[in-house]
Amino acid sequence: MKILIADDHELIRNGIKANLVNKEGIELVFEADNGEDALKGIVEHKPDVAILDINMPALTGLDVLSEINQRMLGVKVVVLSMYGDYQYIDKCLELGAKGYVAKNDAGNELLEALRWVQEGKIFFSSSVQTTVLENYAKTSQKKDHQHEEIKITNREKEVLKMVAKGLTSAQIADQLFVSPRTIDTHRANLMKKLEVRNAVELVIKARQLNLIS
Amino acid sequence: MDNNNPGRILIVEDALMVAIHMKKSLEAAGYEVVGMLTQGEEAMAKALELRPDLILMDIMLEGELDGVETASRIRDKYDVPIIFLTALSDSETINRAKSTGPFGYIMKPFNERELHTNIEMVLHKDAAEKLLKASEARFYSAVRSIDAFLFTLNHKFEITYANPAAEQVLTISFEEAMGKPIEEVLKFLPYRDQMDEEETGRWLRRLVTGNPCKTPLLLANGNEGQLFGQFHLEPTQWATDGSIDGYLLTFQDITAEFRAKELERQIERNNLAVLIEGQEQERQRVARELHDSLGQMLSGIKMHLDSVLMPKENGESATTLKKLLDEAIIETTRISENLVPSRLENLPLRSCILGLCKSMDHGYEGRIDFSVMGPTTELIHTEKVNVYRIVQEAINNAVKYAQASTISVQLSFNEDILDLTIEDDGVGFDLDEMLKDTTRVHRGLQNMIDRARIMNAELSIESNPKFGTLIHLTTRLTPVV
Repeated sequence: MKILIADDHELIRNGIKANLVNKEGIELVFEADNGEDALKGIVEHKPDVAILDINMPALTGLDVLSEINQRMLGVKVVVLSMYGDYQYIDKCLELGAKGYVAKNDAGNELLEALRWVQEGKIFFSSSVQTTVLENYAKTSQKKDHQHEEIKITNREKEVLKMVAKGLTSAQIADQLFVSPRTIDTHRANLMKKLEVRNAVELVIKARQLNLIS
Repeated sequence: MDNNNPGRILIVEDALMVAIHMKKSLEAAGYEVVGMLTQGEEAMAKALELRPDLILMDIMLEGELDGVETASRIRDKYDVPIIFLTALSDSETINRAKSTGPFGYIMKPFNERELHTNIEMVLHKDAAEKLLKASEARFYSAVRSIDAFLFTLNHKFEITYANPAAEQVLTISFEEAMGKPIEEVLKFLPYRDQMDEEETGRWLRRLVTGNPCKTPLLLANGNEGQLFGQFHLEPTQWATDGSIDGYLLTFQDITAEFRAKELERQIERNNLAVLIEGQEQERQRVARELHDSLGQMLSGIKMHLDSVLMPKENGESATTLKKLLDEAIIETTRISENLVPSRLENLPLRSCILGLCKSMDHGYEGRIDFSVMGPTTELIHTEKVNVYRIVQEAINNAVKYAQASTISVQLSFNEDILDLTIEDDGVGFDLDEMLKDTTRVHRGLQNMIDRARIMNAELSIESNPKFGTLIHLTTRLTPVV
């Protein structure tokens, strides 16, 4: 397996190498300390798997990922990151990464990641798995007890009730001790959420959805 | 004419006997007769020379000019009341006499009393009219000379008068503007992002409600581009029945003042931006050092350890060492993330805020909802950081101080306008009191206000115990190049 390593920290690159040397079938074809060189290396050396750090000078790992995607370079990517946020993981997968390994897990799991990814499978290192699962649990839980996708805030409910009574923005503003401008924003948000174009439709839709009791 | 001399009178009469008779009668009544003439040409010269207060003019005169013609020529030169004396009562003569704007006629033959009453009345009326004219002249010269723009409008808001200053701002000629509705003639523009066309169109209505318009309005001026005016509208009650029959619209050109203030605000904003962005950069530097140098170094060390230390061979100490390293790495990341979340550098605003809501959700008993509406637009980095920090402060306040059970964060994109609302159902606070306080909460609020200001955004913080707190930010986003 031909691999490429891109990380701006020599210490990390050396760490990766130390973990992968003498491992069967691993051949390091290129090493880069920035995103731009990494991209060049991928084009020139056509590695099977590229290990990319996210924060790198010139181009970030995310930039390199989207370039790979756009130019259809075919290389499989394992993101090696300090960041464990779901937003990062999500973004990397969206950009076509096949593996996501937290630097913390790299020592034990990077090799495994490379093998899985080469076979075309998705790999998350253990701490990343936890994050992904937690996130999945949260979102599916929400879907369970929140069958209607439309989230209406408390104030929006108040505003809706008053709109249904036929009050103007100024009158509503008076009652809720806020500015008419704020009420206008609430109304605009409500109309977007309920996908309607005017106050009448808003009230009708709100009644249909039982938002006004 | 004074109290001792009720009036200086010139008699123009070709019948000498009649003239003498009149002179005696008038002098007996206290008038001064300044001359008796029989011819029109002579009368003209004398009238201009002597400037009598009143002329008694016979219509039939010797010479080429008759009385009507003479009167007309005199009155062209100066404003003097003239009473015609005539034995003729044919309508043609009377009509001709009328066209000169006479003050009265006396039909011959007349008696003395008739003559005196007529003269007395005419002199009185003339004096009153001259006073009125003088006052009108004074008024108009005042109106003409003030540099404020002044329009008089009728009850339908149509222009009935514009002073010379106001004529300068008309894009059409004064004559064309007369009778046109004022809103058709003066074109108003929204002068701030936040003001839409409709709001601008309502300017006159706002004025009519009786409040002088405090906010300046931008006027599109055909000749000189644009100017800012401060407007005042006063109903006029010039009709005899005292009803409102029109309006007096005045405004002052405050363009220079307005621009100066704008510049001042801009400078203030820039200073604030430099300060806040400086802080932000410093934080970022420290965060990066921590994360990139220390954090990566620790990670590197751990990887090396993984490759050299086999738990089996080194037993417990290897496991402990790795565990300690793990903790050091996590702690370093945590400190760095607290300073500046790395997401801010790499991810779009919605992901950053989603991440923020989720991380704040940890260990918080209430619920934090986040929703995004409209097609998202990417923000330039400084704006992204500012919006993020505002959300962070707001959630922080709601979680720590307001004891809120639900917090809703909403981002709404509408082309290049971003609306952000953060509402909570907590205990609320008194904003004014809060800003007087110099503890942490206050600094958080002040920070939000400052950040909104450097973005030139509108921020409202509305809070009361019944409804909790609502923070609303509206800003026009700078396009990302």
